[in-house]
Amino acid sequence: MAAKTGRHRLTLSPQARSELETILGARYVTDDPALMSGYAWNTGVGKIPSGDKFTSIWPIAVVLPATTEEVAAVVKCCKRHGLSFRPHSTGYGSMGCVTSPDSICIDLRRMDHLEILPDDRMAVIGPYATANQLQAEARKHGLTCHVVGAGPAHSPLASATSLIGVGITSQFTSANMRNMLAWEWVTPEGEIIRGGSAASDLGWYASDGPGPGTRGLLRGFFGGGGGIGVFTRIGIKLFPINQKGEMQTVGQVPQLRSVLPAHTALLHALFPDYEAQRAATFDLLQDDVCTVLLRMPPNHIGWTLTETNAEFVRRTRDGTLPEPAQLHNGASWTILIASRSAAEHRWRDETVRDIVIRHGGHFAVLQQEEEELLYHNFATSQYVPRVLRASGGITTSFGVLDSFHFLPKAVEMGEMMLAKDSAPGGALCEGSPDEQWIWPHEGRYMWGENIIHFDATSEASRAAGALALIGHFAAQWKDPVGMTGLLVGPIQDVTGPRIGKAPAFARKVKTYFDKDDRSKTKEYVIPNMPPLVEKILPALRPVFSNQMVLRAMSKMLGKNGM
Amino acid sequence: MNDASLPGERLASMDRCTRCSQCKFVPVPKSKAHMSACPSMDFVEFHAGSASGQLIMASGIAHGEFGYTPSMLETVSACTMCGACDTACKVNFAEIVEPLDGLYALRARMVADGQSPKRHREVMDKIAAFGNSQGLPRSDRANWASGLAFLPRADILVHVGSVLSYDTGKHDSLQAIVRTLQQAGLSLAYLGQDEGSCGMLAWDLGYHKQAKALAETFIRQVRQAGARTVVTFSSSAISVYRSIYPRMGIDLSGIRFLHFTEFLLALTAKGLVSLTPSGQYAGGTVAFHDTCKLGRLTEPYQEADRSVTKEMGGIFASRSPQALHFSRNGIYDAPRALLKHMGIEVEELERSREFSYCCGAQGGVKETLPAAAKMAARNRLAELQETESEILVSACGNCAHHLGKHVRAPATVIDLIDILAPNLAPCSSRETGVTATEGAC
Repeated sequence: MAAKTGRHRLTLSPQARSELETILGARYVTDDPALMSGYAWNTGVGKIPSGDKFTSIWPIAVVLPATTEEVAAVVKCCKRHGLSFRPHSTGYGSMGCVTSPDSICIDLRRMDHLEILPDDRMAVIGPYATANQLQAEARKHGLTCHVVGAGPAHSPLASATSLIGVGITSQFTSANMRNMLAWEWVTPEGEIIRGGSAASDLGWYASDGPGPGTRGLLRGFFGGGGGIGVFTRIGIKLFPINQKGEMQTVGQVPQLRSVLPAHTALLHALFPDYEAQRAATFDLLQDDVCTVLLRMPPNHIGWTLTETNAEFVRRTRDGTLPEPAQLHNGASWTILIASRSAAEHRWRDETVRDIVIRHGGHFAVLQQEEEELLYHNFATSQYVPRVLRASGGITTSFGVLDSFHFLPKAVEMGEMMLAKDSAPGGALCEGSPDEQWIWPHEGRYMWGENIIHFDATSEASRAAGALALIGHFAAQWKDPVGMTGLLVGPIQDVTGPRIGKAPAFARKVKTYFDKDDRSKTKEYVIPNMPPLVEKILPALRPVFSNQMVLRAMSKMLGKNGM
Repeated sequence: MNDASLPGERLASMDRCTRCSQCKFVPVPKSKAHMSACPSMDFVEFHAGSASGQLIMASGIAHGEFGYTPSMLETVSACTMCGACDTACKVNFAEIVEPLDGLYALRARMVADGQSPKRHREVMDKIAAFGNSQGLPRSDRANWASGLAFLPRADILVHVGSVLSYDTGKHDSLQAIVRTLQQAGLSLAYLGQDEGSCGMLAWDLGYHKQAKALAETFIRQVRQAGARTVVTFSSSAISVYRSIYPRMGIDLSGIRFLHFTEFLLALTAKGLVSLTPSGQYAGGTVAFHDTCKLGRLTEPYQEADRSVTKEMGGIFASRSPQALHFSRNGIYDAPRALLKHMGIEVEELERSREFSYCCGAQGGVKETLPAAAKMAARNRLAELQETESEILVSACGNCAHHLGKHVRAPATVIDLIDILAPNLAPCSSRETGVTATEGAC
């Protein structure tokens, strides 16, 4: 077993270390605290750090396997020695941080397999084939991949298997929650299993083979969160684009831009209110004329269009930010139209303009450089991570995954949560009244995510961020805004029957494959919960929704981190 | 190292790292094979090898989470201080993290805490004893200039640098170029055996006091020589002159620093020297390796209030955004223009200009962790395979030497001075109507 040290840290037994070194080579096993510190850094999307950013729980060791067989051997070694583990791909926002001090962090950096199969419009990738690599290779064939909000440095395999998988181009690239094809998986017991067409050694093109589907069973909606073994290879969908080859990137750091290809337009539509925007959205989607639709909060557009925070602050104060970045212009769509021919482009462009104007909207005048910046962001998601530039601290909200009927209500709920504290003098960073990022998914439903940005160095601001976060859930319980997108860990259980016993079912899956809970996480489902607790938790919603309880919890999270 | 041993602003910047991993990648990679921005990460592989990992380690030490460990010191030693992380990070994070300044601070604190790796200390001992990191005798430093005559005082001081001074294979080219300048009527001074280390390596290793002492010595020598212009053949030197000396608070007034590529280009434009089409290479294509020191790290440092202030409830805004480094103003165009003058087309590598990948020769890695330096060189040379060129040109003697050591036939690495030397010729003032003094100054 392991010896206990201070600060919830355990030390690896000599026997376990020796076995890991035999499996991987000594160079790829470390329990050096300095080398492990990067795996215990509690910051990034969705995190609320405490005074310093180190987590209270550190891994017992970090290992770097290179093959699926090595991963399986590491998992079996964990089992032999009573240790837990958590897989880690790119580790953005400490999503790969372990959640128990007896856990080995399996850093999958050396597993970067990437193979494009252009005829099948797909790729086969390992956990460390990052989106920027996948996109670069896919573009050589006139294809692209879905890039989630974490930006180009994220792992598409991780987003497809383990964490939501949503990003701004969902209108034409779907979302990685839907983009996984065949898969290879190391179970929490250390077995290597392939699914879909790969199970029959027939390639990676199909997610499910004969019999019941298993993709959803393994990843569920939110994703496995590292709580159900290690995914080591998947097939993933690629999508055709109207330009083959490298991006024509121009401009200078930090404002890299891309030249719009032929038959491509970037428009920014402004609507008089959210009712008009909703009505226009149904028409835009019905006619299938937009390649990408994105509603960024105005201040986030400002972050994209300015090279520094200093410029953003100055231009906010002197009122020189362009129209889309002005706070009163929240009812808006940035629209990308990417066509294959002049005729197609003319039809799309005219139709979009007609719909927007018919619903009382108009188009903001953008400078060419602004258009190219926004296009660059659409093509690569390069600037989405700028949500962390302002203060270095953000978390997010419940997320809405439902019909566009909910658009005005989602914005209203966003304002209810943020407007007071994001106004000048409030406890959060100043910003838009709501900070919903909204986009359509495959022309059908809406993703909405209210971003909360706080000063990570101020306990009061962290507490306000935490209050806004958990306040979203309380508000959702009281007056639902469609389906909740971001139900994580224990929040699912408290939400209860409204989501159809989903956590209870996920728990059965978890327990079946991982009865000892070796694959440990707080972002999947609480394992082995007694039925009585399962029943009681939803009944506690009124308690958790109580303003005094919410404030007490927020204060605690602001102090100790989350 | 305790909390107080890192300036509060710098520690705060380190603590703002979001571990997004963008410091590991060039911002817009063109292929999977060449997407990495970080030779150190490629070698170490654990997150600690990246800029983010190093900042987190520095933060951990400062916050008392752990103490220095041998693995940490080895990991830090793998970093070439090439600054590619800084460029990549700033695409999204602009003023809030500034990784390169964090890396400078980390190494300085390691020295202050007596934790500088043994091999770094050995390098510093050689610099102190011999004026170069290789431990070669001062008496050989000026061998390249045998037969050339320099003035004790002149408007222009030639600086050669430690690598080229001792690289006997480059002495003919150096001689030829300097002789041409003299034939063009330029009066040149040279410090000879008194030329020492420029201080760049000392700075990179975290020995900032020693680097400052070296800088002060050099500037005193420049003033004693009466020089108003320093022309250097060293990319490390031009980098330290423009981006590091100003940080040290040294009085540089009245002295202009030029890299030899800028100087020759200016002389060519003014008609003092001419470049003829290269017999061997004209009409051909070469790939060009942007040295990190000559490129992104030569961006001039501006004296300014470099702190951030909290605005709008917690938005960190630079007090001097105009002084932020974005790798924009390095020397990228002059070497390319010289090649063009000689009829040579330049084919860009996938990672070029401010996104160039370090070859491993800098930051003390070559001297102290040869395996890491070799891997970086091999990674860089692999990029040549994506081009039509078999020739990689560098305007840095250090890079050319290091890459040349690891290149495999049929590819070759050529130092720009070896292409320039046979094709550079003086123009007489009767032809141009420009005097040497007018032309040079």
